Amino acid sequence: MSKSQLETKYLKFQPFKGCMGKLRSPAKLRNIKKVLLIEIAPIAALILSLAILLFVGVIKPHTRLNEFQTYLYKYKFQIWYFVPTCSVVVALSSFAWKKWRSVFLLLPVLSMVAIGISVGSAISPEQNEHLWPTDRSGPNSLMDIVLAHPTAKTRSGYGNYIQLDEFLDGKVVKVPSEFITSQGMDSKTLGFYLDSFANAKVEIDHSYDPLIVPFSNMTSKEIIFEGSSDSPKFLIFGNADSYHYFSNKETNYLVADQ
Amino acid sequence: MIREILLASVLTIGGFGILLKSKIPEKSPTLWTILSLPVGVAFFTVFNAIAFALNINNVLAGLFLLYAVAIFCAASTYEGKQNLFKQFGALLVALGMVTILLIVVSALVSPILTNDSYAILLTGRSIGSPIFTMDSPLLNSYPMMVLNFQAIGEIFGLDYIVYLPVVTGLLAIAGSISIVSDTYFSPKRNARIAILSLYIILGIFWITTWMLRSQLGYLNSHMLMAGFYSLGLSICISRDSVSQTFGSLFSGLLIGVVAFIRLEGLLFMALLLFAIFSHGYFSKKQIIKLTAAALTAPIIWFGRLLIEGNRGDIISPKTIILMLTLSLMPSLLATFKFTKQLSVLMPQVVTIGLSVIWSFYLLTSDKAVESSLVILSNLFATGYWGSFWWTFGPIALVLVVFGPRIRDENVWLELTAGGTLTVLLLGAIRTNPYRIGWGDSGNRMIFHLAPIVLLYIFAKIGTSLIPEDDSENSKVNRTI
Repeated sequence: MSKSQLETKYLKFQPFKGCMGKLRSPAKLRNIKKVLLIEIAPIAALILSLAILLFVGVIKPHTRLNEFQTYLYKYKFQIWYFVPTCSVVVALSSFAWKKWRSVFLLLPVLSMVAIGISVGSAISPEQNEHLWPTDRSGPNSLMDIVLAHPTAKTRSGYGNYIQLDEFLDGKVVKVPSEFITSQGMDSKTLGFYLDSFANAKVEIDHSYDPLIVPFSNMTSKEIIFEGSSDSPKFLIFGNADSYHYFSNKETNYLVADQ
Repeated sequence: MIREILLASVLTIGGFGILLKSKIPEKSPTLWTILSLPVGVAFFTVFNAIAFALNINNVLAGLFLLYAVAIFCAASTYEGKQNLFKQFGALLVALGMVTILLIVVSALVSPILTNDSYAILLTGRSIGSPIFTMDSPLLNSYPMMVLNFQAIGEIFGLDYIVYLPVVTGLLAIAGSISIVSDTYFSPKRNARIAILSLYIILGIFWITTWMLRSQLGYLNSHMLMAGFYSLGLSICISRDSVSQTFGSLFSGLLIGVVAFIRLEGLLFMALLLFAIFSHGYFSKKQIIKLTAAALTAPIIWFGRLLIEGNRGDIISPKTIILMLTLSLMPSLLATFKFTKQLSVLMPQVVTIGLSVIWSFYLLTSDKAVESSLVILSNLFATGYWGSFWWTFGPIALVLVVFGPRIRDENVWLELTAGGTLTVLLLGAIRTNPYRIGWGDSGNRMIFHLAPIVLLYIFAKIGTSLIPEDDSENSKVNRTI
């Protein structure tokens, strides 16, 4: 079926098709009014809502309008002059297009876009200065990315576990069944961290108490990893194929089973 | 990067095979190559959502199902060796396009991982492990599609996946540009020039605007949402003239997948369903097919989360019930004779309804006023949007009121204004109001609407350029 045939078919599906003919009875004219009302109503509702926002924003003394005005004031020239000018130009060009058609809408819109680009380029440095790199120079490996993170909480929270990958990849780590760590993490989430970031094979062990840290066993074992000290410390004692997780207020321990 | 390209190729081949069953290869080979990856990703996500919800804790389940369907589609449409060579050529183009995009995007922008990104990684990578269960509250805090990407990433030996979701979103946007230009520009030469001009303008803004540029490397689901929401919109507006191109099942699936991209995705999916069912000519069979394709997977997935009864940071059992009920409404309204007329008017009703609710909140809640003003502040100054919204905001607003009326104007209005109002309303009902800065969720959600605002202006310009003596087109545009 050709495009024109399909479009003709589409016209047949118009719910108000009956009111589009040239000879219109009063009933049909009433129908046209209904159509117009339902077409205009959403736009009117939107305009009314925007008006309410501006009214309420300005009227209510306890809103943060002044604060927002300070932010916007930085771009006073661009917003106060360009936005109204752009709106008026596009509105006028819409009327011109309705009268003369042709490119009366296209050209003004394109010029406004071009002016928008040049206005944007004037404030580009401050609108592009950001902590996060959006260029090629940023780190690519997960470890480097997390260590370059601006907040200490993320660096230690996620970073500690991501760093464990080097020591725990493919190894078994046994965690308690129902336990809340000193960081407020339940044992299941702890298991997710060890599984997802450290690539360990996590198993639930119901038979031990993670609060009873086996210091006597640990003295003979070498500390092979010491995590960031931004939050509770993370230590791995000994090198083996399986570990048990222990915890006290200051430190998380992974102790080799042998 | 090679592993990410490999995964992208696997998904592209799956999507390419499935699209053989549609009319797209026949009607628009370009669209076929563009949409192969988004379609592959959509089916992969939907299949895995069903698998996980049914306790099949294996990320490869979705991939196997994707390939089973792709092979079935390819086998059932096999028309001899001659066609096979042609199809192989198209597949190479699709794979080449995806590969080049992945390389270019990764060369332009380094990965950006915020706190949310790590939580997504944590949850996504836990899928498939023996300790993973569906009762994890993290599943109520992060969306399925991006989790699914991270889950499959582990199998391909990737620590994280950033660029593949981005390229999927970009291709979905490219697909919707192609569909919109085909619908609103005539003759074809004009459409080609228009597409090129739009890409140039979009490219300039993308390069100079931090908020757009950052999305190219940001591990989250914003680019996916922007892409699939605009693709959903283009499916809605193309139902009239090219209904055969997508068909009810494809339309339903591509709209339904929006529910998996964000936790508020069910609301945006409902907006799309209201829009598509406003074309009142659907037969009962088409309504059933479209509804089943769109809603089966979301009902299974969110139904499972509902049964588990977890309260995440974002959604709870109560909100799941509310959103599922809302997303069932469009199909119900379109099904019954006495509500069909209302279904036709639903885009207008939804826009008016959302405006009224937002106005009510503005008058009664300080949080709503604060969130709305924060959004305005972010759009114009503090959200790192550069001159994007100063330029396109006023143009779009003025064209809504004074511009030429375009075909499916109300659908556009519902999906752009309705989408914006949904974001504003979420700011009114959430625990804390939106905050100043690019990282605010309201500011990031506005990114989902950026492509369709551009497409709306694009469609208006296209309509304005159709000569009056182009009888068929002008007839269509005048009558609406």
